[in-house]
Amino acid sequence: MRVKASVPVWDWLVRATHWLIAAIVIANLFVIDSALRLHRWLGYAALALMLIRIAWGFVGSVHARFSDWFPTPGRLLPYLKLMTRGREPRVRGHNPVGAVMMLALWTLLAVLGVTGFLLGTDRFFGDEDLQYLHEWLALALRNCVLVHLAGAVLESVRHRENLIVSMITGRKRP
Amino acid sequence: MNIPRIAIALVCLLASNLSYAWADCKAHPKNEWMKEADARARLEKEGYKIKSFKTSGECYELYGFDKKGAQVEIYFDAKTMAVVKRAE
Repeated sequence: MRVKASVPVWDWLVRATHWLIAAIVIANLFVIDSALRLHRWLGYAALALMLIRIAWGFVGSVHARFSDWFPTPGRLLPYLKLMTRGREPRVRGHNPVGAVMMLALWTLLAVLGVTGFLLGTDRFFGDEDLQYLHEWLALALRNCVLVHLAGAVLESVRHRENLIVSMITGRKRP
Repeated sequence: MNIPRIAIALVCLLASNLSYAWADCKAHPKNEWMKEADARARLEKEGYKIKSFKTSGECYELYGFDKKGAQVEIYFDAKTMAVVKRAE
């Protein structure tokens, strides 16, 4: 096997928050009984990790920063146009479409956190409408995670690099 | 580690059902269930303040407050009103 040169892309905080939030989301969606106090505390932990990651978007390493990946129309539209032709360029950091998904996932996490918090208050405890909304958001999050994963696999195949392993090692080819 | 293997494992996990709060209550025929009004009255007599009381699978489910005002979510046997599960 030939030795491949690689460069650091995802710093430790990006990777740690990514996988910790992923683990919490999987635990809270599929494993833990949502009536348990643990469900609530894991939810708050995910919110805290997300806020740390967002703060890191201002002070972290190059590809962690909003300035590097925020999907402005100027970045997003040309990329989308190329994508429809199956010719989107390789982006070392977050590509603009992946970035839209990040923002969607963060929004869902935030609203899940707020509705979850409210369900723990005496005012909304057992409130069926709010429970329904919280569940709907949970399903939406699950579906977005599936699309996020599909996107990672698609771009991995297109550009012949394992993006899932990159999110573990933090490295990519130059 | 190859991409397909990781991805297939994750998709299987992610495509499964969400975990909901539930309790394993014994199934009784509907005509043996305690009437909802009676069940409510009994809970109130025991000192619970009812926020919501409803059928949940084979159980009755209460969201409310105990005598001390603490939140309680309790699943009851629909016939005997015995506590099946208290969410903690």
